[in-house]
Amino acid sequence: MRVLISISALLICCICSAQYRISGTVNDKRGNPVFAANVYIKSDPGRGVATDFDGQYNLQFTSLTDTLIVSHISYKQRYFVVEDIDLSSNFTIVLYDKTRTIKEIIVTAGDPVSEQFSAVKLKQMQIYLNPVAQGDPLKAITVLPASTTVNETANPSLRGSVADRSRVVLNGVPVYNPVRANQLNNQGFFSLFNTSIIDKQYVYASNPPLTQGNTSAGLVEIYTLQQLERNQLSISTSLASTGLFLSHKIKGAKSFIQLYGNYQFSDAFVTIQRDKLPTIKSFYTKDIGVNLHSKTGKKTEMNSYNYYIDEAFNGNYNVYNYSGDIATNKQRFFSVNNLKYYTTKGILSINNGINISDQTFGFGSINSDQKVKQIYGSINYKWLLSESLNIQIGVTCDHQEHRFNDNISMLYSDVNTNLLVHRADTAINNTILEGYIYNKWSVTDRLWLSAGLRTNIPVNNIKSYYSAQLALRYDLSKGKSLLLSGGKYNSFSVPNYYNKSYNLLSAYQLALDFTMDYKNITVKPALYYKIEDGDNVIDNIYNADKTETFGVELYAEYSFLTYLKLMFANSYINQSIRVGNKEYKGASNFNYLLKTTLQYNNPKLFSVSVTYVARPGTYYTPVNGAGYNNLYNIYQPNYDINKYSSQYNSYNRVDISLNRYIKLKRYAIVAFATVNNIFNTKNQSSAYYNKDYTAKMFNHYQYRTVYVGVVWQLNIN
Amino acid sequence: MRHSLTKVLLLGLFMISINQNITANEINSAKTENVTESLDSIQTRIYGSFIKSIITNSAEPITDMSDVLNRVNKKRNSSIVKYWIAYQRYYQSIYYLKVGNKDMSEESIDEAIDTIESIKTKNSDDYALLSIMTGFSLQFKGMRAMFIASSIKKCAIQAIAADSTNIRAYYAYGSNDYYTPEQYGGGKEAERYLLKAISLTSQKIENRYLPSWGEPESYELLIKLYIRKKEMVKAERYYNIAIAKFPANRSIGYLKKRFK
Repeated sequence: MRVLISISALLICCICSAQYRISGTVNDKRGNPVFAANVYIKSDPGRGVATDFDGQYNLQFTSLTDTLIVSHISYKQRYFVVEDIDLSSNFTIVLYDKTRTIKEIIVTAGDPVSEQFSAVKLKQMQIYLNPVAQGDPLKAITVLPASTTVNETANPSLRGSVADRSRVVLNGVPVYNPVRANQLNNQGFFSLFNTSIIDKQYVYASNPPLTQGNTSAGLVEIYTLQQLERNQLSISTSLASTGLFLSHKIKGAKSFIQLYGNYQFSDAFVTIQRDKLPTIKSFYTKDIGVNLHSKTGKKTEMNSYNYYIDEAFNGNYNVYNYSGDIATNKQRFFSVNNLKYYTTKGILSINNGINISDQTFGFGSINSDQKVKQIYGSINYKWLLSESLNIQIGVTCDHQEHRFNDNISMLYSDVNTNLLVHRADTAINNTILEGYIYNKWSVTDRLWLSAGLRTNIPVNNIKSYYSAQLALRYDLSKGKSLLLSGGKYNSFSVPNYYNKSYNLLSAYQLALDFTMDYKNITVKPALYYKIEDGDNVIDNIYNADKTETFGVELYAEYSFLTYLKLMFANSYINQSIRVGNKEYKGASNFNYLLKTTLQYNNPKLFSVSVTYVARPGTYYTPVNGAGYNNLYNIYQPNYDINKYSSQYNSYNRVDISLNRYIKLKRYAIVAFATVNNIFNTKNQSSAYYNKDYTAKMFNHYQYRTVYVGVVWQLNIN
Repeated sequence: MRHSLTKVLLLGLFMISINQNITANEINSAKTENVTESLDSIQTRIYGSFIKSIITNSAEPITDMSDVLNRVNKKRNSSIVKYWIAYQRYYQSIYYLKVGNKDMSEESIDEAIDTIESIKTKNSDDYALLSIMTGFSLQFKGMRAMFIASSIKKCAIQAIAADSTNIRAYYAYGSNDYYTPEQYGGGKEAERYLLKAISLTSQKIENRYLPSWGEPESYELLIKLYIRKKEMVKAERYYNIAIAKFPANRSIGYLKKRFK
């Protein structure tokens, strides 16, 4: 019996300590061996092994009633019941790529699908530190060679095209006329956007991605913050404004609200430099904005930005043979609302925009009341097919209504009398309904291709049209990339007092952009060529049927001695227009468009920058005498038959800006001062004449002006 | 800057403490071994070569490791090899900074970042290392640092999103928050993320080819955070836990003098 018990005990002991062995290979789904995968038994991870470079493993274990686990940080973990495995032969295990988590999608796939094809990306901090931006996101663009804005406004003109062909888009919703009082001297009048709500902005100087429509030149895409870094209260005051900005997290760190309001006034600003502001009598703007960002669930987030502005201006102005008082008043409200739903396969986004404005304008015999209503909606799906292939599809609808209640003169140049004026009530509307598909393919680590197609779904007798584009980006090496893009694009002009219609404009574009970023040097040369078609109104009277533009750009940036940065931008633009069968020079025809800035930025001391802008004058069509109309006792100008045959004097301007950041525990103070056009250069902006058009005079851009202010910031826990 | 020379020296002392058993022979032997063997205990061997470089005041040991990894990379181009090449360049950068050669230090860290960025499908560890290295590189970037800084946090978030059980991902996030000045929103989340880090294991099972760093670093930073916040009771409690787990870690041991 004792012998039997001993044998039994020995047998049990042997069974308990029996060694089993499993070996084989771990591969990925493409059959490639997986190196360093963990292979172990659930109850005994200590004996686990890692696969070698050929994916091979050899694991010893003691229990058949257990689970085999194979894991790797890049792959989905797999489990196998040991009893089901044939231990006598090699056991091959296939690991599958991890499915991206919702969190990963939110972090990695939230950027625009076309991101690699933008010429410039600016983060919020870059806007604040931009030497010419004065804290304004659209002003920040003007330092780029691609910005060919020549009238000192913040409304972007890109690569020689008129501003009306480009679009500014906030969170996927177009914001038309995105500037304050753009007909005025720009001091104090910037874009409608507050940089504190902005996360980043992309500038597509040419070939705007067809995820957005209604642009036939370039695109500026602005995105609001996704996450608030800190609660903060800012109070600002300056020579012409006072404002308050509050950012606060709600529901922990996942949602936040930003509230702000500003009041701009002219009293002090105009009084101390009246001789430098001869065209301004008084102005004010009052605005209020609310930006609410909410993560309503693990997969859902929404953003709602609402903005209201009331602005007024009184001054004087000169046009044709009339000089007189000008008065404008405008109230505008717009709302941009976004909803995003994330899945592991893609992102569904629904965007909505509402814009309502009422503007009155009085100048001589002109008395205009313009009411605008716009509603925009889009539904988009960004489909993350694989690591290398993304497709975005969508439908957009942009409905616009313009109503003009104007005094209109039978003679366009008669601003002086009311003799030929009649009252007209003009109501027009346009519905742009379009569908699009855009795909981006990462062919290799260095090569991306994108293709887009966008077509309208004709509504209200609009003719059919389509837009199409192709782009290729190749990274030659780290920091060196080449972007070749081309396509056909369509947009509608925005109606105004002189042109009360939605003209369909189109353009063919080809552009080559190169970027070299090496250590502290950035160089960006570019070439582009475009043909723009469609009725483009010039001089308020003629339609340019076709505009051809060829441009060469160079941007260089050099950082040195820790705190110094030199920026240089230059453009050569050869532009011609066709009116009827005749060809003329274009208005933006520059042998040089130079912008250079030297910036010293030491956060512990101060920041100062000097900017110099120079270009030849723009071209205009002069008046050669006038005809006298006996019936109405007025002179009618005779424009030169050669369009754009005269040129304003060359433009030169030097600006200096200075700011100092002072940190005091929870408080910070930012003091700033700018002097624009420090040498008080009289840069000509437009020509006007005496009563019988025998003498020519000029309106000028901004003279030397000084602006100072201070911002007090309080970080709130 | 965020990573001071003092921190680098402390890190060096810590590494001396845990890598005294690494010999030059072991490093050199890798030259003749096969690919898998070349990556055996690679983290420890890179540490070792770094320490030897500091002790001998010579770049040769750490650059020799570079040669080993480059040879492996030529034979088998894989993301793991790229990870270790980046890791080696990171310590090479620290070494050059320690000996005052800022140009070579910057070149090494830029090379490290480029290497990890070249991994097409990055995993959690890749993002965590990229976050740490980008933070280290800021000291060389002058005005550009302001524009790079946001990518450090984004990488750390991506690391956590890709694997919510990766200790190094939480360390990267906590480290970024710890070194971000308060006026830029830093210092508020470090505690939460470092506490999460020390609740995790550095590896699921012992795997000598994959990274295992993160735990002592997380303890060290957590203790420093409490010291900075003058929460000395908590600081001492975690010091005691850390020193019990890593008795030879001089970087943690160095903190003892802060407690009376």
